[in-house]
Amino acid sequence: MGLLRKPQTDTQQLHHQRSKLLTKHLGRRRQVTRRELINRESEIGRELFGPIPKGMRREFFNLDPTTWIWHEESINPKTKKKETRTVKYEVHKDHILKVEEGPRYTKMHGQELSNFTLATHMYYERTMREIYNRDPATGKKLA
Amino acid sequence: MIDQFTSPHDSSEILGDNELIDAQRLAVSLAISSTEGLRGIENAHQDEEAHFTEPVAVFTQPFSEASNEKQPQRPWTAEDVSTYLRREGELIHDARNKELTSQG
Repeated sequence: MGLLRKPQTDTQQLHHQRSKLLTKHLGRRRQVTRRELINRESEIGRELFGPIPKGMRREFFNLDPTTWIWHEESINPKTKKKETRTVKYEVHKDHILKVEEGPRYTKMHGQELSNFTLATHMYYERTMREIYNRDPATGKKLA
Repeated sequence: MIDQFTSPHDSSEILGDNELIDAQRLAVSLAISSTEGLRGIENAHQDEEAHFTEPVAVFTQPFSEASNEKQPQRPWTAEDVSTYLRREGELIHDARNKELTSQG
């Protein structure tokens, strides 16, 4: 396996170096990937619920048109072990389904649904303006 | 919280290489299992540990204003909420795709 992997790694390194040189030569910015855009959106998403306690990491982002993800990590002060929690919110035709690890399913309703809707709305407004420079109402580029 | 936002920077400074992708993998696995779970879903009680039960604010905006569509003002139905969220998701998805394609 080692013999097979080494050339591949070398090739990848060569591509990486060439890419860096080319980017430097052309003076262009590195192209942004979809994942990086989602990361930037999540920077906004994580702020919507207030300050994040020290030692905790939080992500909230739109994965695709019908999926939202909440992810939280923290260190348990007693066990000193990392604890994670990921929740997926699925947008269905007439309900929002909350899917937790387990898996465990809950139809969202009441105050929780209202707050979730508002959070996604704030996320939408801010990502469109601050990341994509687009008018949230029309989707068109802002001047 | 909105005022505290700072401009986006290199994602490598924000997340570890595999962390977000792990969340996405989990999302995929949950998506598969949720299809099965939907068959037996009931109107489950509200989760006591729900993240969104901490009031951000109460969502009271009439549907017609929020969606910029000419519809009679009325309380939102479950379908209205789903339509609205789906629309937002599609617009974000479109904006992402346009951003990626605009890079040439």
